Amino acid sequence: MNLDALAQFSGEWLDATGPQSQIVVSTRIRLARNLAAYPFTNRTNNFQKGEIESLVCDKLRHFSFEVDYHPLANMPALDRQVLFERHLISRDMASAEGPRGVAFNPGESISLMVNEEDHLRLQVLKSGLDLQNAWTVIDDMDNQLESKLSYAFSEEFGFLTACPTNVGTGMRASVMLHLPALEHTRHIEQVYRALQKISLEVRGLYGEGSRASGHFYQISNQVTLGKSEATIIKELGGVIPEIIRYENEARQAWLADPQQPLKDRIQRVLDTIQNETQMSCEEAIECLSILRLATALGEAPGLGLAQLDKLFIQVQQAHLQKIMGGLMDSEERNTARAQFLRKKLAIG
Amino acid sequence: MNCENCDMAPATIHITRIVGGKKRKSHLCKDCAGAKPLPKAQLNLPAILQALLGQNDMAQVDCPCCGIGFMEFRSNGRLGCPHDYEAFRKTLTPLIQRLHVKVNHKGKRPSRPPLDSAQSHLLLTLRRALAVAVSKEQYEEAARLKREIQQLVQDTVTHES
Repeated sequence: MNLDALAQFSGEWLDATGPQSQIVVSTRIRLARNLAAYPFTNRTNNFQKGEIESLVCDKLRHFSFEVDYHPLANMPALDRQVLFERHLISRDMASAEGPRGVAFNPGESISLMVNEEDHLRLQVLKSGLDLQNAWTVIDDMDNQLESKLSYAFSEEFGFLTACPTNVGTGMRASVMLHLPALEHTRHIEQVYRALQKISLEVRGLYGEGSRASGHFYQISNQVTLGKSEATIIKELGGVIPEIIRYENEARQAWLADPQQPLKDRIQRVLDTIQNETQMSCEEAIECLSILRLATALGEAPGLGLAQLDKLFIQVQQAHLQKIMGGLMDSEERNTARAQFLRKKLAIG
Repeated sequence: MNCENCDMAPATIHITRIVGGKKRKSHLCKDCAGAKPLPKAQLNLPAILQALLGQNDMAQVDCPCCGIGFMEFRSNGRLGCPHDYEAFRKTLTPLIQRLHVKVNHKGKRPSRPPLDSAQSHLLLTLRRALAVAVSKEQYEEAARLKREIQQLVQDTVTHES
């Protein structure tokens, strides 16, 4: 798979065809697994990392899923950042050193990181709210690997992980929601508090430590031990419809608000895209977020959710440089981003 | 002002360049101004662990398999090997109880029996000894340990097949 070409497309999980895709961008499940007879990644040397990488790559040859393995050790930093921006590798993995890599399928819906914080990080991404199907796929991936690799497992603690926050199922199930209206009406704080009470976690667009840019929120389970995977999925899946209902109510309230009309905000965003000669990544994401809201409400004819969701990835710095065909400083990027957005949205 | 590259750390380095007669300013953090690495996660897990664990009598305990000391885990928030769950059980169990619902796994299990713990501990210990021998350039000892590991892997029917 050519990483240069990758930046022109988006993964199939961003096609906005999944259930509730007007508010739910995607569903993600990841499993953390370690090999029983090796130290965890933070204590392995490069020789051991290389052994683990070879061992896993060998098993991937018998995998029923069509995946290509991409070693990261000698990959240029820009390509690594492209993979990070596409949610295929973690931020830490992009900047780490030594033998490590990621295998993923052409649609980027399944991936497997090798030598991340844990030896294996399996991931499945689905469009919209689709927890059950995501679990079915990742369970199959896990079973296939486990039949050929000895995982670190204890009857008491479950799957053993480098960080005790992941021990047990090793599973993090998360749903990425677009909640601009709850943020606008300042009701998002209530959502935060309510979710914390039931041990669910709210993170930004890029998971742990990231901010909620573009009004995107990832809601995921905090607890990984003492509950089965089915229970975790059921509990997470149970609260999402309520947040969707809340966001929908807030959207209608915003539409009807005479003080701060949503239509004015949409027009200001269109004017910004038409007139600005420079645009930072944050500004572009903010504009796209309002256009995504407008599209979901039928207030932006001619635009599509899948088109906008792809642009959220493409306006980021590594993607932009890949698409434009070269390294740029921040000012050049901001100029290119403003032009790129105008062209892609056919505004101006 | 935050770094314009990673937007995660304060911009402490300000660069002005003249390109084609035009002035261009960049405001970067120390990391991005150097090697331009990717942004780092912000969650300070070690600080959380230190608050949860405090000082305790595990301070002197080291894992016999990977050599990590409990204090090392406390300061960086990552365990060194699967055996640490046994080696640090006394202090880890209450921590895990606070992080999770119960210290009792309810999820899926591997379909085949896990690697015998004595075997995995021995392999972990031998791999650590091999790494030490290589770092000390004791190549004869390293070759011997490598053979021993290979033999053990071959003898372990439940190991990676």
